[in-house]
Amino acid sequence: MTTTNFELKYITNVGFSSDQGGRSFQKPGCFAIRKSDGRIFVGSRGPAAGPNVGLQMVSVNHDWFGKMSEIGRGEGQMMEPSGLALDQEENIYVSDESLHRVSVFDRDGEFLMCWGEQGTEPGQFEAPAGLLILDENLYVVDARNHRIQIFSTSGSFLSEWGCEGSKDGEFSYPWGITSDTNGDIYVADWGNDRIQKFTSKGDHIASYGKSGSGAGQFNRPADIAVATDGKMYVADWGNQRLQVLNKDGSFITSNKGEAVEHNPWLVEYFDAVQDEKKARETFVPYFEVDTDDPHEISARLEPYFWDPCNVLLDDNDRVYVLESVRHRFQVFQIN
Amino acid sequence: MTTVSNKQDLALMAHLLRRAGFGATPAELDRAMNLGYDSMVDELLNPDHDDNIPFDKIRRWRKDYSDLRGPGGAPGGIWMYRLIMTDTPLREKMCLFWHRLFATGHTKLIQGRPVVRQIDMFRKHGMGSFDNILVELSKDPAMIMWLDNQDNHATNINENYGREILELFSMGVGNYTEDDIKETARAFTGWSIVNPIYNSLKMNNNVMRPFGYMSWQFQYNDDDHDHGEKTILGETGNWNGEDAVRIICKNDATARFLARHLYHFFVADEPPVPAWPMVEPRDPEAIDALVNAYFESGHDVKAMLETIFKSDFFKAESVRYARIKSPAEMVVGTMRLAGPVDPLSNEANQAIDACANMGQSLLRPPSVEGWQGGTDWINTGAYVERVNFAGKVLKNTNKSGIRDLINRIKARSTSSVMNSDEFVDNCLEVLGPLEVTEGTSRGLKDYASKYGNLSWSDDESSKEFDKAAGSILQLIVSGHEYQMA
Repeated sequence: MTTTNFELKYITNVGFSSDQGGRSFQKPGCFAIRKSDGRIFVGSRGPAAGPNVGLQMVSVNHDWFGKMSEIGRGEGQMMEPSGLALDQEENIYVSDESLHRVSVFDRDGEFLMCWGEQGTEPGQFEAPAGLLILDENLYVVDARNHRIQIFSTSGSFLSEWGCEGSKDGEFSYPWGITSDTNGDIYVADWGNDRIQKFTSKGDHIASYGKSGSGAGQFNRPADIAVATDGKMYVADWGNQRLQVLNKDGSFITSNKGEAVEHNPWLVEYFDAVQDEKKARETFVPYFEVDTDDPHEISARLEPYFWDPCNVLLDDNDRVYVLESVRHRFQVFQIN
Repeated sequence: MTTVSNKQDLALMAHLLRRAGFGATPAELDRAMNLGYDSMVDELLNPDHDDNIPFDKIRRWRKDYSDLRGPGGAPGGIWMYRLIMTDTPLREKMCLFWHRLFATGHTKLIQGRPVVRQIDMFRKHGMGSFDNILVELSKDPAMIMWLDNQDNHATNINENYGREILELFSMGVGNYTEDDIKETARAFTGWSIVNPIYNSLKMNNNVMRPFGYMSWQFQYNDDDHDHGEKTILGETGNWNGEDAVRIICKNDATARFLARHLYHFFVADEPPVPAWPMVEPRDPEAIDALVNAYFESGHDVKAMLETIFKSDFFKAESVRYARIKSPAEMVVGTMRLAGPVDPLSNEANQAIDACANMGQSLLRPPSVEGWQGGTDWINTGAYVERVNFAGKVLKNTNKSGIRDLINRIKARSTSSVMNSDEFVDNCLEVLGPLEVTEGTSRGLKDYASKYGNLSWSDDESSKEFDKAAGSILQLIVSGHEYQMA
């Protein structure tokens, strides 16, 4: 069934890229919203992004609250933040796919603890990615071990499920993870081009999608968010788009990104750099492309998503899509 | 079909695979021998599949490759990975050939994607019609911005591309006039990119702000094209860029220039290009044969390559090991010998850096004239870098390729013992086979004599054997013979 009166209305984009630090993101790979005050944490990654590596703190209204953490391998530092989750006390959990560990900070950014090392044993990781807090447990997508591990929020290993493969309950380099209002879990099974749904204990319920670029198909889906009405919002990374599906997996709509306008950070930037501002007056954001490679198209058309890797929903019916290679996220109102 | 069954045929096949690719592993050489020389040439000339490159994994975990920003390993790293891992080596080597001839520098362009897409264009068109290659090159956004053709307007021409397409890319100095340059430039007016003003500024200011790097797209602006009559190389008409290419490619000078470049790259070192107007080709008859192939085939590069590889002038003993390997050939050949590279590791980036230290920074040529090659590659510093690099790679006896070499050395004995002279000979066999001078052979054997008889009958002696093999392989690649192709 297709819902015919569903609409995604573009609102704004938040972001800027600079490899010299400051008010910017750099190859962001994860983000999370703190519900109490709407603060958004964005994880910026290396390797060539030293001053930017860490968690930038912003709001959907383009407020800038600074950065927490910094590049490094020591406690409290990070190299490639790849997953973010907040618990009931608003402690911040960050997975690092280069350091193969999970770090925890309090809501003020003070380092609390970390655990994990590279390996295949329980409690070890091979490029951990998405994180989910559910029922006071932390679910970690252990991407290159093709499994999900469950820990207590103090880092004690509890259980795991999954192995490499394409059958139900098997994974191929999974990436993002989320839950719905029933407490069921959804995993973006990246290498298998599908979404898998599980109980909180890891029993397989359903799979959605298959390889392709058509409606309801995926090309390396990176992340998923599930609304209270069960609709699925998928960051369809390889197809460079956001897809919205009904809870049975049927297609509703897709969007390639619409970030045409200059957000306030850009306005300030161009006001400070007059030659670029003048040149920008001639800039045509959309044009007919002479390729059908979605990655190349996104590389040419600035308003489009370029490597959409994370997706979030807030409590105001807004969906957020984070783009690694455009160093920003785009926000849409769901109607 | 030629059947190969003796040492001379093996040496010839190894010569083919060094020149038409990056050298062969022993397994690749075995396979080629089973195919036969002519069939191997045909297979090299007619790749029937794309290389299997895990771009998705590379983009997910190698952030530096996801938008191909420089500086550092990317964008060269992704191409280096392809060079090492390709199973269509001649097609990939032709990318290197065109990159050298149509040298375009990331150092100016800054946006990595257009630079790598130019290599993709070479991969797609590089063994086809030369006319088509020049037209694709003229539309290539990286080339347009490199030679400022976005500033070439009907009312104000910029001669840069018009000059270089004649001087460096097709005919060579002395075969056209200053007027031809101007008229050719006029023919290419309007050949630009989308958003030229903004993209030029971003490039010149070297900024990734506000939203990262961009890729570029060709755009022909007819209202910016000079529609007037032009005379190019004696032909008059209302020429556009495609016409200019057609006129250029009909010319004997173009065929000769291309032929000499192909000879220099695949057969034997020629002097640097600026000397060509004054110095005759090393083998004028070979150049004539290639020129004939060019015209008889309708300007087809593949036909010229086939002529090369099936000719006596290529197979002759006098041109074996007659080229100094470029740093790219040196690095790629050695890496291929060692075994597959993990795309998520730093190996490809390290290889690119090593190549740069040897004097060839891929995708960053020193100028539009590219690299001259030949003896230009060798100076003291570069030589030390070559030796150190090759030694480091071959020292890693855990890599699958090195293990295969060691196993093959052992397999050449009927018992599990060999004396040190045999040992050296067997190392040379599996590394090419590599032909060395009597002096080099003696030196290696003198060194190896300290090992006495080598065996691998138990774990202990096996470890010693591996160590000795690593040492001798390192010594061999430090010799001048290994620097030659």
